[in-house]
Amino acid sequence: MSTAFVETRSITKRFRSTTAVDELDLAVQPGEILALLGPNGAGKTTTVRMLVGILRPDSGSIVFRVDGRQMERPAPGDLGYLPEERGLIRDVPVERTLEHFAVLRGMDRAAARKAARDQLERFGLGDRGGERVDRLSKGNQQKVQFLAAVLHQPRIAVLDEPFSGFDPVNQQRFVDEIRALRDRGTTVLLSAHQMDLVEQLADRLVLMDHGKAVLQGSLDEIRRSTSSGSRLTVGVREDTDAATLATVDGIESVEPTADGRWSLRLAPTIEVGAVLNALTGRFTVHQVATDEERLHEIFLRTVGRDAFDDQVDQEEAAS
Amino acid sequence: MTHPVAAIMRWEFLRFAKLRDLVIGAVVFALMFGGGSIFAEFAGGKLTEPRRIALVGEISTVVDDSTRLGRFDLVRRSAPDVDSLLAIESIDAALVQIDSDTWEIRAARSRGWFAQLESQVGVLIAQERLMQLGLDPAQLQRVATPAEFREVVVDPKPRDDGRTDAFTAGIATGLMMMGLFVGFSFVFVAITGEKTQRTTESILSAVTPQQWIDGKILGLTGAVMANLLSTASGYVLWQVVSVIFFDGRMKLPAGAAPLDVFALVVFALLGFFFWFTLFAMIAATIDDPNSSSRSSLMFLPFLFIFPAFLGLEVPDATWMRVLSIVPGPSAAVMPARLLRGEPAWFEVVAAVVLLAAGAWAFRRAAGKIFGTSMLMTGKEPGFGEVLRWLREAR
Repeated sequence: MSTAFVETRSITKRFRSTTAVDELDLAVQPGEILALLGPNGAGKTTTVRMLVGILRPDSGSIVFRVDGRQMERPAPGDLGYLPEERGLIRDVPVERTLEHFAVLRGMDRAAARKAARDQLERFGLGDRGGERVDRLSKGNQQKVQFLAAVLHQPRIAVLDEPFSGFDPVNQQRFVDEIRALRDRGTTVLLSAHQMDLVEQLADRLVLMDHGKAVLQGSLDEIRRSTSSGSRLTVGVREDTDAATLATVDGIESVEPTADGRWSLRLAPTIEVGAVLNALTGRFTVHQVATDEERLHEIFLRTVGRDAFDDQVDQEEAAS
Repeated sequence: MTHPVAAIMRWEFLRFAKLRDLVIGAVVFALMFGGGSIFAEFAGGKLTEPRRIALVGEISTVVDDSTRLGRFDLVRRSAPDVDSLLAIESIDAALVQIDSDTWEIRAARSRGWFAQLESQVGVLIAQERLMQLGLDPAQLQRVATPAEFREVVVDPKPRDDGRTDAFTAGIATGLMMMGLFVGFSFVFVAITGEKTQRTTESILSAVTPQQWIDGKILGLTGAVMANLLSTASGYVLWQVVSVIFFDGRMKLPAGAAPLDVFALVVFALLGFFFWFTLFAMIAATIDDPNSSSRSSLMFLPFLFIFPAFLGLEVPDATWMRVLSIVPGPSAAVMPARLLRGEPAWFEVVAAVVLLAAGAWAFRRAAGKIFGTSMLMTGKEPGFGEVLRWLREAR
């Protein structure tokens, strides 16, 4: 029997002629951070909206398991949701906004007020609780939005693009916050574009494309399942080109780096030492660095460069 | 744990009914009512103020230098002085005899009381002619004595029968109109504003669309009632001020039976709920209030109020009787009939029941439309699409 906290069983959602989510099976284990990745239009937000009960699947089912009971939708207090399209009522004080969202999630009003004050203090906004939301900077509004989603200590937090709108320092801070949330016992499902942050944070990943899950598992499992080899960056004394380097046994592809070195992707089955031996037999190698294939490279290889370019465009627009 | 509907209702109420604003509103309305009555008092005094008329001609009954004729003081002056007296506003007009049958009224500008002056001076001239016919003073006196007219007003609907004067009934209907305008702006801000600010998803993941619409409409209805209470407080405040500082001279007309006031509150509550759900349904389908042609539909409920104003003088006309039980107009028309006419008890019961049923049906429809359309951005659903949602929504 499944132990997943939430499970989707072949859920499908269509909008007119478009199938946004196509028979998707997904399982989020209790206490884990699961990241949904995918290019624009992959079906991530539609999946998230179905999970939080805003949309209903056309077919298939969603099951939550809370305290041994199965249900279609968890109690409001068990769920926290940070939507992709952010929005707070701007003409209301910050503290009252947080209190309201927590009360809607089932918290007692006095407890909600106290929690709001404590968390605002922790986020460095302790003296701004009485100010209208629209007086805060965009970054601080993002913090308030995040707090509105998790103030009531939900059992599962669904975070759609939690890092968008933050500068790199605050992005890193939110990586820590989400980890802390998980450590306090909240299961986290997030959808994000920032691959490097997802790499740091997620216990498991689901890569979606055209409404389907094309890859699932931990980063290591995904690396293994995509048969992706190691990456080697080398500097050679000789004047050479990518085509010549690619003729070395065990090298699948070659790309020049900005600093004049060469980035080599090795065949999945080959050992790094064997390639190095072959290289040193033909070139004078003066620099060597090894690396695992990065998530964005797996992403790019799996869903294609066009999708990646779309993704970059969107990240640029968001920033 | 607070019920979601109660939590949303409280939120909307506190967002739109701020105590400080309500108190300020009451004071502002008291000043407006006061200003209105002071103006009316002043304007009334001006209307009855005596007018000085220079007489240049022969009317033998005007024997003294100054003779009061109704509200006119006739003073003898010579023709050459008239225009300079008019220029310095020492007189309001001059009555100049051109020949035995023709008189000229000279004034800086035309006045509404010229007709009254002509009529009253005409009587003097007629007396003059009668004297020239040789009537003796007693006969002349007899002819000149006007018939006496006594005014006896028999009000078919006296106050103590529970009927209300037109002013108070007009104020009551005006309050409904004001509530509708205020509610219109609240609903617009609360729904299209929220849709524009993208707060919808966060809330809809915590509560159902029906809970949301119920809480919103109840909260906004409460906020509008609080605003009307603030206006009514301004009215009461001015009455108190007029009694304390003006010996009640400038009191506004007042008086509605307690039962009428109760009925008014019931119809206001049901009516606002009904109208605001209609507003909400339309507002939920508007994507951009600045460019949507659908915004004009939001004015539809205002049509429900106008018959109430038109029917204040014919409260029991057939068309008023029909409109007073049709949900929508009934919320304004039935109170007008209760204050000014004599609706049958079963008409009142039918109006309440149908209005409550209509409000219930509208809230269900609004909940269904809300659930789908509040998440739509970038395009507005067509009416066909909205009807489909109503059919398909669970």
